[in-house]
Amino acid sequence: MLRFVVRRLLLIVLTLTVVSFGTFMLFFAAPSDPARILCGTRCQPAQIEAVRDGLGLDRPIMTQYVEYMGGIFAGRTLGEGDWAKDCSAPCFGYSYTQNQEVSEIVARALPVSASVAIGAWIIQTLISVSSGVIAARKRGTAVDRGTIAATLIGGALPIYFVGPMLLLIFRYQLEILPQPSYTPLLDDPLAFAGGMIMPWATLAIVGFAFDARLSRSQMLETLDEDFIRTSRAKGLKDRVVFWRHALRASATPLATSAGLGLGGLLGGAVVTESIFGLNGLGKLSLDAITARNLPIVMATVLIAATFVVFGTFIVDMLYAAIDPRVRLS
Amino acid sequence: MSTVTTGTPYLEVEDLKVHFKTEDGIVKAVDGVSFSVERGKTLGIVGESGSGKSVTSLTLLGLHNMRATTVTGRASVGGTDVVAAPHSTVQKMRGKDMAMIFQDPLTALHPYYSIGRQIVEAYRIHHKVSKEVALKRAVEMLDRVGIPEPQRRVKQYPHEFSGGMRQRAMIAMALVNDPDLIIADEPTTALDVTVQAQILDLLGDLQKEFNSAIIMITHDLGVITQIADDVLVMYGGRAVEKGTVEQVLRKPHHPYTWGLLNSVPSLHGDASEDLKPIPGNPPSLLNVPSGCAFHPRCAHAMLGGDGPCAKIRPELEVVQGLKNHTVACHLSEAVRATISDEVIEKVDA
Amino acid sequence: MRKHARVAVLGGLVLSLALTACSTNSGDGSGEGTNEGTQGSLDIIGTAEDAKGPAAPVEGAQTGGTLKYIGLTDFTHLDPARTYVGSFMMIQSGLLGRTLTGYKEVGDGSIQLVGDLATDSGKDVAGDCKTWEFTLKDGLKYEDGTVITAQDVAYGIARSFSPELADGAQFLQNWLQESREYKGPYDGAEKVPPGVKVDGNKLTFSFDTARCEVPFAVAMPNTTPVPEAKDTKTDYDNKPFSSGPYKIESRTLGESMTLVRNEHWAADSDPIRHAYPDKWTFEFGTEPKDNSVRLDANASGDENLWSFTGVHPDILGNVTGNMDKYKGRLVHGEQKYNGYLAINNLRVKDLAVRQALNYAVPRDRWIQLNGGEFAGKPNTSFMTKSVPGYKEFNVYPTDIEKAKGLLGGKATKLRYAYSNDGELSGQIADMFKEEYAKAGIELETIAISPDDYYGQIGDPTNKYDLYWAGWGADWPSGSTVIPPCLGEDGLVLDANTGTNYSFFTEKTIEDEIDRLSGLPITEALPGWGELDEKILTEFAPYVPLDSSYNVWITGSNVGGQYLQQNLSTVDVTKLFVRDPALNAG
Ligand SMILES: Nc1ncnc2c1ncn2[C@@H]1O[C@H](COP(=O)(O)OP(=O)(O)OP(=O)(O)O)[C@@H](O)[C@H]1O
Ligand code: SF4
Ligand SMILES: [Mg+2]
Repeated sequence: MLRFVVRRLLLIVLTLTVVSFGTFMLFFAAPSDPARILCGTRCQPAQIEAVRDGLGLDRPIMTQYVEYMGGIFAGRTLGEGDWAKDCSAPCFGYSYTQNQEVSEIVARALPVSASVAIGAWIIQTLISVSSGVIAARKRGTAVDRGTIAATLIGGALPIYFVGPMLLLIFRYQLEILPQPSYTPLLDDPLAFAGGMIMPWATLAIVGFAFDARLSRSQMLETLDEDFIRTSRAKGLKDRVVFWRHALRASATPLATSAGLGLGGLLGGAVVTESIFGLNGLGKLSLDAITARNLPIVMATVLIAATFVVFGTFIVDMLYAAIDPRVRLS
Repeated sequence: MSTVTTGTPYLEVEDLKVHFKTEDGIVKAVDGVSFSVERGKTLGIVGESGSGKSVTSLTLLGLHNMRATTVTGRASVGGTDVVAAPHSTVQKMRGKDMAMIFQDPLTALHPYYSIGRQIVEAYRIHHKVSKEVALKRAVEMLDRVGIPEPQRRVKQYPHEFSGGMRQRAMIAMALVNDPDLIIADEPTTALDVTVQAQILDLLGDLQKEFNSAIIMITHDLGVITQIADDVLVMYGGRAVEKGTVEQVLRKPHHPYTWGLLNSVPSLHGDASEDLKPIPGNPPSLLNVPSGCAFHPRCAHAMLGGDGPCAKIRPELEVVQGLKNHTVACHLSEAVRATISDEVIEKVDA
Repeated sequence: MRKHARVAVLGGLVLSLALTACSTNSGDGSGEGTNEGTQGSLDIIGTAEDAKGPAAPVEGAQTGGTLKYIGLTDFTHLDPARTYVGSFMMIQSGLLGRTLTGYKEVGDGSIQLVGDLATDSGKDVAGDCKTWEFTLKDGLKYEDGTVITAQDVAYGIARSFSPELADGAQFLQNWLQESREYKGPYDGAEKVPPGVKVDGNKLTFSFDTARCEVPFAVAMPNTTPVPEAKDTKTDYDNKPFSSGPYKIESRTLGESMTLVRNEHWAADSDPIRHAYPDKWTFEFGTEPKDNSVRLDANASGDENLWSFTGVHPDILGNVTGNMDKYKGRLVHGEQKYNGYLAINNLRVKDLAVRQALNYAVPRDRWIQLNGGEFAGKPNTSFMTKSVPGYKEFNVYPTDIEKAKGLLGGKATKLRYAYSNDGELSGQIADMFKEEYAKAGIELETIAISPDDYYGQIGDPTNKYDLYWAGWGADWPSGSTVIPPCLGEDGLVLDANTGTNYSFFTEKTIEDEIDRLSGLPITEALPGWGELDEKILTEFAPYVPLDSSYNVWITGSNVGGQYLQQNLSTVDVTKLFVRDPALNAG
């Protein structure tokens, strides 16, 4: 088990190195002059120089990469002389358009996205898995047909339709929900939940269909397995067979789907954050791409990659916990 | 230990029919089968793939697919008609009154639960005891079915067991509640020959010990010879020949049984050139051939003119002089007796 | 004020760059205004009397309460040396900082330049526009109660010379030292910029040539005082030290900001600002459309909302079709920005072709495609109505036949370049192609990357004949419109700083520009309007299209909606909370 974990961790480090290097090359080796783009259309030549200095663009690209990565772990000094800036670890560079260290910007956006994605993920997983499983249990009944119908409708709704609709109905028409906003959970749990409820609901509604259908079919598939027949042959009550044996056996694929779903939700968060005006990572990276704000793009790509990689890692660990067959290998 | 044989069969099946309604039509998987098994006795059921063997046995435990299915007839297990009984009654009987051993031990055990846990669970359904007591019983059972180091093995998962061990564990689980009727559906098909023999021995020993009735479903006539007292030959959802092992295997009266015997590689060696598999394919249960379902493949079929084989369905009739030996074939008894002798001669050769 | 993006076409950050306007507020007593965009008076320079505070009250205004701003992006530059976008300047100069001179919205939609920190609009010492003197008012204080000095004003100007802080307007700096050797007060350099003298509370500016528009130039944010001790260089952007009626209480860049009263600001000294609300909160991150939908919904808790973002095109029809419903929540008017088709005069040398382009221009369809009369008004000159001295003329009334006649049946093929930034730009290109074909002008439409649109069309060697550009006056004078766009001034041979996209120069026009530049403001103003007409009539170097129009709505508890002409956006100095008790806090 320990070797398994260590191997996976090494793989993660390798993956992240490749991703970071690739991204770095892509942006900094691109034919366009990043300093020029960063500086904007009205940029004075002197400003371009300042930006170029700040980015260290005159040095060889490998040196720049090493310095950049070094900055992430040990911090570094950006610029020179009177204009030097200390950028403490993790230093992702400095955003000249926002007058801030990238790490500060990202650190603010991260909890927002995490709150949106994780909250939505919990709600979505709970609702969709339980309704899918219940539909499988009540196969062929009105409950089952109702769930299938709901997944058909839910699956056809895009985020940019559901979000504004919820806003229109629950905020602007009925005025029963607060304006979506981010309040740190620990500051005020109620305001946190109130401000997040619509983004969560939006993502949960949109994501519901896939997970619910998957859970239902996964359960039905499991119910057809030989070992389920065995447990019934032992004399176990149907209820126990279903909720213990069948659910347990479906847990691995469901956990995988839910785990990967979290990655999808991070993607969905991009659109959701825009719709509800939440300043999260998604919105940040979208704006950064539009504005060709390379340090931010770079940082968000790296962070997203880290999340995906660690997400997969956690799913794998979960696998090992659920499935005794994985533990050994 | 269970009570001694009483004379009345523990299991009595009468005119059992299991029909599945499908999109393509009604599948008559079992179409009027009758048989009985006494305590301490073993009934072997043989027949080609798709002849309805598994459906028959699953129906007894109420484990068949319930959707769009009609089950008629009577199946009395220890006095309870499981066809007519409510679902909950049948469910309570499972494991204790009747237990089942499945063909593929690889898929029939829950992959995420330890062997011990699965046996403990089975035991505690019918015995109100603590987990510790149940676990002791599980270890005892594993030991009983010949699993070495049962104390250690009990904690392991199915994937840590070999195929034969798994089947032993499966048997331990099936027998943990001393069931009166054991249905073993091709319990040895997935195993190699040595292991197969061990498992059959084990079942035989256990039967003696627990005095249970056994239904042994198999393709393998060798298995029947080794373990069964009576044999039921099924074809296309119906019984075509029924009798003691001696009767059916030494004096077979049905052309299909002859075919089965001919297609078995000789135990005595090099007769492989004479191996004659039954030509053609098993019938579709959606559209069973008229008359005798076997007629498209039967070398002796009386077709054309007044030939009854494609027109009239033969019913089981007693083979004269042989008690309990019944067969469903239009051939005259004399003809059958002659051919039977030839077949046996060849098989023995 | 420099080039701006076509509102409907460019989104994101650039959008906010465009939101600045000028107009007349037909205040009906309740504060809301429509604004016809006309500068009523040429008499735009106020006297020492006009420079006295306090500002005349806005009718119905209440003191107290909190105004809540929502918008997409933060005010990127609030450092007075760096701010150059209308809305950013409005926040900096309207709430946080005071400048030597400033613009007072008179109440009828016109503006007047008055002394703000200074006692008057500036004294032309020798009457030759070469030496200007400003005296600071007494008792001016910063947010910490310390006194604002002339030295601080000089220091503020000095730091705006620094290349690192060069995002703001560069007029004053370039006039003071054309060579730009001075790089700001850092690294041990002088704390007072070249050409500036500080004497007690007096500031004297000396120029090599006549600079008659210094009173306007010192209204730019870089004359905001910055105490050297408080100068945090590039970080100053994040939290400028206040000399205005409010100070920054808290700010999370890119997310939110809260302003509270600067208790040391004296209303008596300020002829421009009212400072009615106790507090301002700002929240960033709302997409333009969502912004408009939310303001429109006016849900409970949202009654105190306002924004610099105009009503989104998708719901503009709803609003303009039901003006009565939005009474008291609306302000709309013509802005100072023009839109025109620059003709590349280096390539299209035939006057007849340029005139034909003018006669055949589908101005109505252009406006319709861009969102209709509430997005733009037809404009047939280069200058827009908001600039004093504007002259209305229409020398090429639409006439396809005339265009054909001018071309004399010659096959005319031109290359039209447009920014490849969305569906609309393509539709517009198709429309031009179709309409000009009617006059016998065949357009080849070429999409170019939006990233560097201005860089490409600003390149004199570009291979295009026709392309869109826009412009707005930096201050209310044709001098910030004609010379940079139709004169040698705009022909800087660097694609990114050039602003004369038609590459048009004419000796006679250049002479007239020089003459007007040497005249006192009030004499020069009408001259620019005349020159505008002369250029188009004689040379037709561009095709005028429209002047932009914008509509804003606020929550129902917001009053005092005026359009400030110079920045062409909502005037923050007049906004107030109708019921301060509602949504307090
Ligand atoms: N739920 C069902 N619906 C329709 N047809 C079914 C169903 N269950 C079984 N059958 C059909 O009934 C027939 C008998 O199946 P059964 O499993 O009893 O065969 P078998 O004799 O056990 O064969 P094998 O030796 O391959 O195990 C087969 O043709 C099968 O396809
Ligand atoms: S009845 Fe006819 S077809 Fe059927 S087994 Fe007998 S001889 Fe063959
Ligand atoms: Mg079977």
